[in-house]
Amino acid sequence: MARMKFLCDADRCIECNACSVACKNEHQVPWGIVRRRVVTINDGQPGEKSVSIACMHCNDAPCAAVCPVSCIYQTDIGVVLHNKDTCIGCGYCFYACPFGAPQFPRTSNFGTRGKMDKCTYCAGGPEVTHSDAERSKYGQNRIAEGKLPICAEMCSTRSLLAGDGEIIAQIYKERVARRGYGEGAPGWSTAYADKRNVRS
Amino acid sequence: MSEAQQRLREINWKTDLSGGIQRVAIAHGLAPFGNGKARCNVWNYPDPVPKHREPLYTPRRDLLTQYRTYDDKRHWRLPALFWSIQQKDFSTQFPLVLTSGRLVEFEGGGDETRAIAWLAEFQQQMFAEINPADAQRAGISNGAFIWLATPEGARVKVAALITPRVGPGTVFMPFHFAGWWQGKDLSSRYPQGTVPYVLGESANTATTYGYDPVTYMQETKTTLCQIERA
Repeated sequence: MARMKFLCDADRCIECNACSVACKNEHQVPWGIVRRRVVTINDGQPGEKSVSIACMHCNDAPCAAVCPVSCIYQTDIGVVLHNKDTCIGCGYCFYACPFGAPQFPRTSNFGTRGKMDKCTYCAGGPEVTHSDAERSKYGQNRIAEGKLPICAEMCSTRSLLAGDGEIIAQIYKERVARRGYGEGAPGWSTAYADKRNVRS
Repeated sequence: MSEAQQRLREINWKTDLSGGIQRVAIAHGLAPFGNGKARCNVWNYPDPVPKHREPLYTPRRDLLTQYRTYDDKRHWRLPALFWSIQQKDFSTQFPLVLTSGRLVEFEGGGDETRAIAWLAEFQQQMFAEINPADAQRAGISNGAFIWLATPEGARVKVAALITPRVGPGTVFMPFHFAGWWQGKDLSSRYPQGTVPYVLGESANTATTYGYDPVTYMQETKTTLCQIERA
């Protein structure tokens, strides 16, 4: 079974924000909730780099490990999803996530934050596939239609790759070999390091 | 597919590196670069060959002896001022160059794109990019509101974005905003239900007089300005 991953080639990202806008449009994500964002470092200076960041659907997802109500789970293709009916909005996942992926509709110091929302890899949620409940809580389910996430499909420079981890890693390796340089794929080793095998 | 068709698919005037197609085209009096009829010497233009002319509002007074603009013109009923503006020196009172440009999220004046929540959310604030050296001199901190004034008396209130992306002495403003007029929010004047999600000063409020002598396109890219804390 394929293991789906995201890979962002920081040498190619031009900070056009098409991934973020496409995501918001596809899933009707409300103002203030950002499932995918483009982060630019050294903005305006030589060596400026941009990278598109969302939930990376980690191997050993730290959000799932800390969730007190165990609402976060991983599907058979490695996509990390969550159940909004179980979520209590405690925000632990937000603290655990190395990518700042979990988003909350409300902010207050002592009140509830509301149900957590994050990138679903366009794979919907635990509701019946393509049901109204799934669409209203989690957005579209493109994976069930045999499509890849809309952000990667929309990427104008093919910086953001989605798909079988082995295939997109191979594409990236070939790119780096051909052009002779590679800043690396930010977040890849954080998200997909095999923690059961710590030899190197 | 015939062999000739196959050959045409493989090679055309754009991809023929041997130059054969181009030579045949030239021999028959055709321009080998498509339909273009570009002229190197445009005899009916004010400058038949493009040459540098300093903008009407310029900080480089020293260049005017060699690169001054045209004399004032009159096209039928339409007067267009050139030298009578350029000869006045505004550069001591307005020492910075102001230019304008585009943001990836918005299109044109931005009224349509700023009314799309997915796009408006990414650029919520009209701003001016200022070099750190100029910002320090004017005592402006990043994100603070500034007044930007230009020689014809316009004053716009925008947020400061301090970045080395613009060189010292240059200020950049995006032209996608509208709805504010010299510090005042005019959203109440939009027809009901048509106010875009984000409003801001229009960059064209600040830009100054000046027209292209052929097309009469307005000058939006070069003028002078001064900045101060709001």
